[in-house]
Amino acid sequence: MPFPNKLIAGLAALGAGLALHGSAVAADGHFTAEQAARGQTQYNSNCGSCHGMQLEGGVGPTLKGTDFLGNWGTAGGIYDYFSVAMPPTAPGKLGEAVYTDILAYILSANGLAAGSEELPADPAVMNAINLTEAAAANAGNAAPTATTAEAAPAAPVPQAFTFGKALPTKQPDGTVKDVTSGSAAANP
Amino acid sequence: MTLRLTTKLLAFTALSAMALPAFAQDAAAPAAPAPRTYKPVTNEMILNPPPEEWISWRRTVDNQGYSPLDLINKDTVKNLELAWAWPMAADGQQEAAPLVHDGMMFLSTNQNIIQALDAKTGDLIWEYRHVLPEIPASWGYQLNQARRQKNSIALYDDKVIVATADAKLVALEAATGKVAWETQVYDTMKGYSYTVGPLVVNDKIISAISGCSIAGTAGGCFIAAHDAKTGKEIWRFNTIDDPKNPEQEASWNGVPPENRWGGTPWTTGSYDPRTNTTFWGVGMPGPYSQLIRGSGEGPVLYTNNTLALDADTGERKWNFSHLPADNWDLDSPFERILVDEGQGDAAKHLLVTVPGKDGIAFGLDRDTGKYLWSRDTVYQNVVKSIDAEGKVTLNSDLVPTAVNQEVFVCTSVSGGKLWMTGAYSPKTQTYYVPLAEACNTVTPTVTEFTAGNAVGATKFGPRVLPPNITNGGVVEAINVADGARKWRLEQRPTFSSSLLATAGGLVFGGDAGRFLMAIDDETGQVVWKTRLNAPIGGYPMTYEIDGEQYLAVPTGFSAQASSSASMFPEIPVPSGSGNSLFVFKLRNDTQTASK
Repeated sequence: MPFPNKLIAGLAALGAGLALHGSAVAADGHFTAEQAARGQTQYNSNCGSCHGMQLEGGVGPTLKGTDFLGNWGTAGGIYDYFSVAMPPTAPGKLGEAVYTDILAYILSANGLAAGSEELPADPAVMNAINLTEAAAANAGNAAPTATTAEAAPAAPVPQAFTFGKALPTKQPDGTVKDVTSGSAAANP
Repeated sequence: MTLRLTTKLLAFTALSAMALPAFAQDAAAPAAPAPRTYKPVTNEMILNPPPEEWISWRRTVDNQGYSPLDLINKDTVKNLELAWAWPMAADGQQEAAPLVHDGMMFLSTNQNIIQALDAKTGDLIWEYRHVLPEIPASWGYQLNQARRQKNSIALYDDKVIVATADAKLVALEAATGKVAWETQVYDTMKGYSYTVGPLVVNDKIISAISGCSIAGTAGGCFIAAHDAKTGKEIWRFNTIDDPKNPEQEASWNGVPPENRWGGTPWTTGSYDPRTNTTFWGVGMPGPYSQLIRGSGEGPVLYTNNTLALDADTGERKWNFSHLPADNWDLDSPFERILVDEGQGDAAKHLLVTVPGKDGIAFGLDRDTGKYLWSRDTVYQNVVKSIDAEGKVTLNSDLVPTAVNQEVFVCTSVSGGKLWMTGAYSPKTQTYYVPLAEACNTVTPTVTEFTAGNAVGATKFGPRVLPPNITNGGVVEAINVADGARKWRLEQRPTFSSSLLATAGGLVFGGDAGRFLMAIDDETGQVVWKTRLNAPIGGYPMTYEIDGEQYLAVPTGFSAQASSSASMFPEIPVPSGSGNSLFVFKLRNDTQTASK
């Protein structure tokens, strides 16, 4: 049986509460509000015309939501991609500081909370920011407020055959452990 | 539920404009245009179109993308000049495939906006705007489907057949743009949407649905036939669940249909009247990685296959697996071109294709599905070998065995080969294919699937050039007899349009650097080029009216240009999308046919 959203959100909340324990790193608090504001200015100038001023997508894909967060897995995943490939008019040319600020804004726009320290352009830090967990929390939070859409589909969303089963999973230290698919620890 | 901008409305708008002071001194209102007649497109015409027209996606239903016109040729191409241009009605991926019949151009753009234009003058005749349902903003993948509509229409009788992003088939009156009938074929709220246009043969609309990697579509992806007069369904073939074939059922290794995705046939199929067979390419499986899919080393049929189906019944005649057990989203749905090699009774009936993103070219016997030849075109590291029977052996080092295990794969999720379609010239017996050198990292992840979104469960790194390669853009000329390379054109910017082959000895296409090119079909030399406003896109095509040959070329936003821009930073891709159509013809004073 697939894990219901609520259970995942619950696990994520539990993870957030126990941020200092184990490998479940809280997604919040990895950038400052000022940094995200700088990033918003840069985003509007360099990214918004294709990805939308609300990150809703245009000719480029949306940069918001559970699908986007889940696809990249970690903040480092996003950085590795867009700091090389984007924007198409000047791929990789915006400089480390600007890419990092824009990333802070993208995280902020996806509901991650600001903290007291700026996000550094450090792969180890970025790779530790787990977006799958944030996505699950968002999915849980989104459910009660999704009344603007006409009728939310009643049927549960089908999941992968392996969802909720143990899968070999590579850990940050390089070892492989069996981890239950769908749990917060599955994408360290 | 549809809006139309009819000539009446246009006339009204013109009258309103004339009421403004700035226009008050103009002479009398223009006479209302005479109602336009329209010559119906017959079944026979579809199989054997007039040389001066382009009435199906690739002009002929063998998908050759070839025109017998030759006024524009190696000698005269230098005299091309602009006849008219037109801005497209919607932005998004430029994948437009204009059709021309009876002096009218039918232009389908993203968001299923269809326009009829005078093909000679560029005047608008009518416009149809399909009203798409409101989809929740969180359904990111599905929302994008309406922004990547390709080759979206077909002509039949006195109708224009449209397959829409909300999974409907709509028949418009070709003369007026009025809706004749429409039918809801699939449930779009599950994720289904048409992104490719139908094939129409023998009074049947044969179409394939897209969106089968969206969570809600689990268990079903389809090729189907409908009565072209009424829209009534005749048959339906499921590309990922075929209980009539035990081998297909076993190939998913115990994964039940409700946990299977993918198998989207997202390129319009071809048709052979000799055997009444329709040929379709099928896309990748979902989730992308066998580890997450749960299918082990199973070849997950009919993903990444060629399917040969009886056009009357939808019964499978044969299937051929080009990339079994895909782990990298290297799907293989692209053009299947039907070619007869040699003459008369000795002619070989071939299907030639570069079916998948990995860029491997194949030749098959289209009557039996028997493997004839294959060859790598661009650098790829996923297929280790293909034996004499056509059995594909994968590079097992690149099959991830753990979640979060990153592998470096060539080609990439954005090709290799992509939707940009190759063309075949019967004059040279050569298949011309636009390709790209590309690699990316692929990492399986675990995600909970959400409504309206894809089930890839994979993280892709940026698209990069393979080691020791600096030219990303490639056109190959492939001898269809044995797959041998006749020539290869290389450059840094990637090619972003489909190709057009003509009897004038030219292959037309264009690149991310905004150059439209005419390539010598025998040597691969660029004999003429001109720079337009945006990456060249869609499907360049040609037609003739009143003794003059026209060349129509779409330009605009290209995800291929954008995703490969870091490979040629010296040629920036423009910020604006600029989706447009440019129509060229030879300068009047250089043509003998006119003054």
